[in-house]
Amino acid sequence: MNDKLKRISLLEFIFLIHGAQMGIGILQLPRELAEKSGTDGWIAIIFGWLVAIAMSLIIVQLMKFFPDGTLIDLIERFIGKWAAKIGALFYAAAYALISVTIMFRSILFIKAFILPRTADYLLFLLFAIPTYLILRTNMRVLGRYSVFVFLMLLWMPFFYLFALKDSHWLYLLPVIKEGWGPILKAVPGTSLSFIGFELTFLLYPFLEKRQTASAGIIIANTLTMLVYISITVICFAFFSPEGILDTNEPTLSILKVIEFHFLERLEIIFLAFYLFVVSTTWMPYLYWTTYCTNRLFGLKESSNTPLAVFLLSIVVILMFHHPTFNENDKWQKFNSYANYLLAYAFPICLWGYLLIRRAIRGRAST
Amino acid sequence: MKRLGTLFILTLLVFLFPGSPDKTDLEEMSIGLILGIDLDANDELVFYYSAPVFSKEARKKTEEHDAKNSSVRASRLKADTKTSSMITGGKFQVCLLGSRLLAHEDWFTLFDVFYRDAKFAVNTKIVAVDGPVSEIMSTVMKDKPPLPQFLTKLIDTADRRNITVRTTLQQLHRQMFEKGVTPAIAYIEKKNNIEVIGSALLSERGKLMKQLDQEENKLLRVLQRRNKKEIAFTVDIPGEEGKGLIDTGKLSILPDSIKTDIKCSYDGAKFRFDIKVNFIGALSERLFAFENRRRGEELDRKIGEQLQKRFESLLDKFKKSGIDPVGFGLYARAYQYEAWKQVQDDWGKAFAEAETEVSVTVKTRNMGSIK
Repeated sequence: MNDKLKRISLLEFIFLIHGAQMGIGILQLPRELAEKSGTDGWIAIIFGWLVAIAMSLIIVQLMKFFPDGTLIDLIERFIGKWAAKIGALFYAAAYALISVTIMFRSILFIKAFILPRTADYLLFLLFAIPTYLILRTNMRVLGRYSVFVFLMLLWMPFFYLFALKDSHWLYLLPVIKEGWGPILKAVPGTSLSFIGFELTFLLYPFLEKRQTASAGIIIANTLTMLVYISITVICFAFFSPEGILDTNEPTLSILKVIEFHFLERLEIIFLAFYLFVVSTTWMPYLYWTTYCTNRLFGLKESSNTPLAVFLLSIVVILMFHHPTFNENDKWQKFNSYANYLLAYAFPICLWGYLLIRRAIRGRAST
Repeated sequence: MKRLGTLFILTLLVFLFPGSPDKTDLEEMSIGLILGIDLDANDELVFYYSAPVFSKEARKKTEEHDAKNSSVRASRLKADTKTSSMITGGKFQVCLLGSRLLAHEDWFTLFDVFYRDAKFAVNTKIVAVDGPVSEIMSTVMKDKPPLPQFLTKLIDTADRRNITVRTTLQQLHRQMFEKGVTPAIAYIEKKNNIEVIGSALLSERGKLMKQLDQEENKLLRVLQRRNKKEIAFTVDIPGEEGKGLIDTGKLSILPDSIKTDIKCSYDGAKFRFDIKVNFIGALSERLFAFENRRRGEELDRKIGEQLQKRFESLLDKFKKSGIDPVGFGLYARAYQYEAWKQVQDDWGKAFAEAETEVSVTVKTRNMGSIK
């Protein structure tokens, strides 16, 4: 753990978290918000952001109880070896499913927009090979990959400004149409859009300067919030309040209207590049899955066998099973429950337990 | 051993990946650039396609096909039987709708495939045809570029001159779904040549209600706040017409800035829209004698009055047919939400009852190089 090479810098920490947060969800976020709270949905993002920041800070506080270890180490230290195994099992299973859901969704998008007749397993293989190459070394490589992807794709948001010339800001008025009720109803959903901050469980011990963790996580959450809010507002101003409900992925569809003299169908290129962004979501999750699996079976911490076996078995599964959007939606729903449990409920309980324990110990020692 | 393993896997992948079934050869494709939809004399749906022919031997540079069928996708398969290649739909530039089709409601359901199939382009321009689509499709013009190119340019330049509306598939989707606005699309006809009439105003469900000529269309664009730069207005100034055939009291202005301000209020029974339009521009033509230096402001006022009359009659036209191509409904929703909620499902009727008040101010900054 103290190996200098494995350490990640603050910048890498920020972009790892931000990368994990920005995934496939943004493609449909504007529609989901419009379904729940109409054109006021963007306000719910701010609330979701506040919830996410509060939760992130709790997780950082939690990790301070045992700064040199991951969440699994922390459970082992304070609760016991078997509890750690059970924890590892749950996290490995949940995050394996989450990463598979994201990867399958990406395949579905590629098939819908770019390559409708290419076999699923081939596309997955194309994801799996770079994923394996990046994940097999250490956390630092992954961190640098996240920074690289972020910087390389900084140009992408600017294309959304082209869509502005055909938008109607009147759609956003009046600002609070139906009162606060519908807005608050969307907050649980938006707080899930910020899922990714819980990677701190894994990243915290690798961080070079741990005192910067809180600042780093606030920056990462804020960055994500700014992206979410600008995309959502632009989509709301572009599609009419009724029209957006009819559009499955407004974030992609909006790009179809942008055309240059030398280039049409921008959304295809955009989606292809966006896969890099999505890959920074599934990669940390797969890393975390591998880590937990290694702990579960008592393998060496740097063992890549579970990852290789996992990716290959998905390739084989995809030869027989063909994912659909509806199935993927169900998985996403299940994942959101898992996320409430593993990223929100469990850390709060654990933190509360440790605080009480410390209070009791403190009193006992005086 | 390890190196050998890697080599084996790499070789395997090299054989696996290039066999993508998604590749299509350009030679085998016929790139549909125009799609026409119409009803024939027996009220059966007919679909028309026009695609460029990439062949040195072919004398005509485009090929046209038609197919009777019940949906866009199915008709494409049928049209394929008549071509030596497969027609693709991702590049349509123009979609022509015949007037027989537009006499019916709900043709918009046919458009499902454009939005559902991600391969379709959504910048296809929607154009209504006065008369049957087949007339346009069979046009052969010796002194013009091929039909797809010509129609695209025709609409684009007309749009730049503000004499039509350039409504694309994506915008039509919005206008159809948005409750506070009714669709307006470009309108062309075939006389000796293919000409732009102006725009076709549709009802909320797509039936052709009214048409706007080119002058009216400019006003519509001003009200929509979507006017392009090249816009000029010619008005008759009463009291200045001479006796002859030529000196009719006409005058043209070329505004460089047009500001439209729409305010919406609600008095408990009906909506009221106060529309202020402010033109600032240059005098570009005057067919009568006038002392511009001394009576410039009087002239400005007279131009304003004329334009105001035109706006008023245009708004009356909208209200009489219960259509709202300007999108006053958006203002109603944005500023009078509670009242809007009551009438949103029948906005056309509520708008027909609304009061509209237009006031136009004109300021000529510049009388030109001569007095």
